[in-house]
Parts: sequence; C-alpha cells; structure tokens
Amino acid sequence: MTGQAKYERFNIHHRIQHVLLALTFTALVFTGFPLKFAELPISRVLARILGGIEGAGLIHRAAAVILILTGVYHVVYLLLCAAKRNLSWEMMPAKKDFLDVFDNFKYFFGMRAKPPLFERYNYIDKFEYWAVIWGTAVMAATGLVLWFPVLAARLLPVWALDISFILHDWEALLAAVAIFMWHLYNVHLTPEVFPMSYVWLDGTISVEDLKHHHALEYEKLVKAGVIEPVADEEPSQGTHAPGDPSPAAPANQGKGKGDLR
Amino acid sequence: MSRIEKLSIALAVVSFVFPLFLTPTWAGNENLGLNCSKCHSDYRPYTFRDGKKVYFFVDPGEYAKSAHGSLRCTQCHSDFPTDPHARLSPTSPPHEGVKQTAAAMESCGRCHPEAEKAFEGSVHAKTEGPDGKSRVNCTSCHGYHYIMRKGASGSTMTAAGSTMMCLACHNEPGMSSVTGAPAVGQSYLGSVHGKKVILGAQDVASCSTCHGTHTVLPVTDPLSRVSYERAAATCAQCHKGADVKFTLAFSHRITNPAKALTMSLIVRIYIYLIVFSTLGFMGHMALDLRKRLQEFWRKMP
Repeated sequence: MTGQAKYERFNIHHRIQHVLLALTFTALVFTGFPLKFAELPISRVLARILGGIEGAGLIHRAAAVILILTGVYHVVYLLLCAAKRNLSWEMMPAKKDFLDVFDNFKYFFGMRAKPPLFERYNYIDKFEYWAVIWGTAVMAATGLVLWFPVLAARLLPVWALDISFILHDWEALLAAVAIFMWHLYNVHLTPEVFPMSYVWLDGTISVEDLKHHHALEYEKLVKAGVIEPVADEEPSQGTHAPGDPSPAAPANQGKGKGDLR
Repeated sequence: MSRIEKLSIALAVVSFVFPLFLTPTWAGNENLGLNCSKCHSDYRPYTFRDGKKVYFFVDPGEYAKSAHGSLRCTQCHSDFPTDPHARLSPTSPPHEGVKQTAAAMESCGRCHPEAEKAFEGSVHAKTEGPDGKSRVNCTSCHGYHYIMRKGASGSTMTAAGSTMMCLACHNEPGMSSVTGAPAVGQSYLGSVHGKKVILGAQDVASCSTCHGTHTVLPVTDPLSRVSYERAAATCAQCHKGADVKFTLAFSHRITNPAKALTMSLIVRIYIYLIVFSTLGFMGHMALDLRKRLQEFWRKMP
C-alpha cells in the first residue's frame, strides 16, 4: 500500500476551519453542559474543574468568539472563491441525495449488491455540513442575546428575547448529539475508516479510497485528467503504467453506470 | 525521676483529664444557663403524662457557635421570666415559644428594631406561615437557636442558603395553595441565575438580590422592587442600562400565556428532533456496522 497515489480532498483552508470548529465546539459543549444540566452532580464537578461556573463562562465566551470568527472566515473564503469563479456547489442538497438514502438502506438490507455511488459529498456529509451551518447560526445569534441582554433588549422584539434562552439550550443538545454520535461514528468508528480517517489532518485521500467512497467524483477527476485511474479492489496487483489506464477504467465506469439511474 | 517530678506529672495529668469526666461539653457556655440546659440538652424526647412526646433539645455546642451564643435563654424566651413550666400542665399543648409570630417579632425586635420595622410592611408579615398556625416571622427564614453570623460557615445567608430558604414556601405548587405563596421556585432554578446558584456561585443574583430582604412587596405594589415601575432599576443594579423590555423578557416568572405556549412548543419540537434524530443515527449506524461486518466475513478466506 506504500506509494499509493493521493488526492487533496480538503485544502489548507478547509482543514484550518475544521480544526477551529472542532476545538471550539468541544470547548463550548463542555463549558455549556454544567449550566444546561445544573441539577446533575457531574455538573458541579465539571464547573469546579473549569474554575467555577464563572470560569466556565469565560472559556465559553472565548470559544464562541473564535467559532464566530471561524464562521466569518468560512464565508469570506466562499466569497473569494466566488470572486475567482471557483466556488464549489457540490455541497448543495440534490434529488440524488434522497435517492441515495433510499438505495443505501436497500443495500443495508441486502436488496442491492452495491451501495449507491457518491459524488464529492454524500448525503451524510451534506447533512452534517448544513446542520453545522444552521446550528452555528442559531447558537451564535441566541448566544449573543444572552451575552449582551441589555443591548439585545434595545434592538430586538420581546418574543425574540423570550425564545433565545431555550433555543440556545436545546439546539446545543441537538448539536452535541449529532456530533458526538453521528459524526464521530462516521469518521472514527465505522469499519471503513477505523480508527480514524486522517483526511482532516493532511487533507489527502488515497485515490483508491476516493474511488471506493466517492466513485462519481473519482470518475469526474479521471476524466478531467486530475488523477490517474487505479485498478479495482486489488491494490496489491501492482502499479500500472501511467500511460495505459485503459484496461481498468472502462470496466469501472461500466460497473458504475449500472448503479446509476 | 525524683518524687517531686513524678508528683507534678501526676498532678498535671489529673488536672487536665479529671475535668473531662466531670464537666459536660457545654461547660464553657454559662450563657445557655445551667438551669435550662439541665433538661434541654437532652436529645431524647420528653414524654408527657398523656403520652405525647416532645423534643426540646437545644444543642449547647451549636448554640454557643451561633451569632446569639452569648445571650441567655431568657433574653429571647422572655415569656418565661420565672418558672415557665408552671404553666405547662401535663395535658396542655406544647408551647410554641418564640416561634409564634408575636413573640418572635417582640423578642427579635428588641435588638433588631430596623429589621422589625422593615418587615412589618412586607407581604410576608401578612402571610400565614407553612405550619398554618402562625404568620411568617423572623424565625421562618432565619431559624432560631443556630442563627449564624453572616459570612460564617454554616450561615444560611448565602446565595444558595437564602434561595433554599425562599424555596421552602415558594417551590411546591401544593404548598402555594395553602400559604398563597407564588410557586416560582422551579422557574427561578431554571433561569441562568438559579443554575449558577445550584453550581455554587456566590456572586450571583439570588432571590433577595432582586426581591429584597425584609420588605418584600407583591409585584402589583408600585413600591415593590419587582413592580413594573421599579423592576428596570432593580435589574440595572447588575445589568447597566436595563429597560422595561429587558425586565419583561428575562423575568423568570412567565405570566404571558402566549410566551409560555411558544416556549413549551419549542421545547417539544426539540425533544422530538433529538429523539428522532438519535433513533435515526443509531439505526443508520447499526445497519451500516452490520453490513460492513457481513462484507468483512464474506471476504475472509
């Protein structure tokens, strides 16, 4: 498996944004937890570790500022990509995603030989991305109301103030459940990547993995000449000559098209 | 060792050890009065001739540590100038002592006249206490024999201590129907202030920070610290620049039915979202894992 071809799936901006998000999110969950579940004994312990509930609040606000700045970074990055006519629309939900869910469940239950073929982002990736976008927007908006209640009371209608506390409270729980259960399974525990997918660190994915997990993007990139095709399923077969990809490629495409609708 | 030395050591031992057998632990506290404590330092219940059992135990050590530890019993129990027990026939009901409203107000007010005066105008002075026999009085909140100095360990006059005291009446809905005390305890404990109190914060708004101490007035009274007219100023003690809208939005007592409905609706929606997404995640995870392991077995040589 040494010397296999790599493809940069996440560039340096993606990776920095992800690391900042991961660190701040974790800090926010652990410093917010004691206040949400104040009546649990563990919350007192957690609050004491974090320097009292005031200390926890301080860390919480610092992490929140960094997370909001990360969000700004993300938006600015997207705007700059758009300015360079380089903006990716591949994260947009499409009809195929709903069909993929259906097909994947058919595959789980053995009603299909192969899982559906995914593009750059599958429905799990898209769900997580849009959950983060929605969650960060809600948490940042309601969090600012709670941080600056006097100012918020001047600027916002009463109903918006009324609901900001419980929204912050419950959206946090939903986000924590989604990340700690769903995301950590999909990037750590699933046998596909166990113990961890390293793409968040070096940004690269082996072309074989790309072909396996994101077959449609693989085909697109091969067609565009960005990457060299690899042989199917048998990495130990040896490297094939760069100039002669033809034996493997058509076979793959044929197989892929069979699963496409 | 000479005889003199032996003798002096023996003397020293005896002089230190002998008093331990001779005197009870409350010996140093003359103020409790040896007369009263003869019977009242007995922790067992006293059985009247009609079979009624009454506890009249006063812990001498704890009393000595209290803020009033230097006072004699009769300085508060002034209704017993001579022999209090002469009035207690075997069948008479046990006396309520200073816990009775008038007696407490008189006894405490003798030394704390400002507090007495401030309290007399409050809503609590007109309210029946939780025992249903007497009105709320000094002892309802402060206790009696073991009142600790403010700031001393064991004092109930802390953020958490005073909150728990108010909650004794203001918590349970059932209690509130008896005493008429608004059941606002849970809504306070659910607020950020209340949660901070639970988590042990000291510098946080407890009940009395906003509602006042001795002169608590109903919200409908314009002079109340939480009335529509004055609430903004009360909040502004900590939240500089707070206005009426601020007080309406962030009060822990939700009086607007539309607001209560919206909030419960949002909570319900989130509970459904969390339950269903958890079930969805777990289902997807379980099926994914099962399929992967199946594939794994299949490929095993």
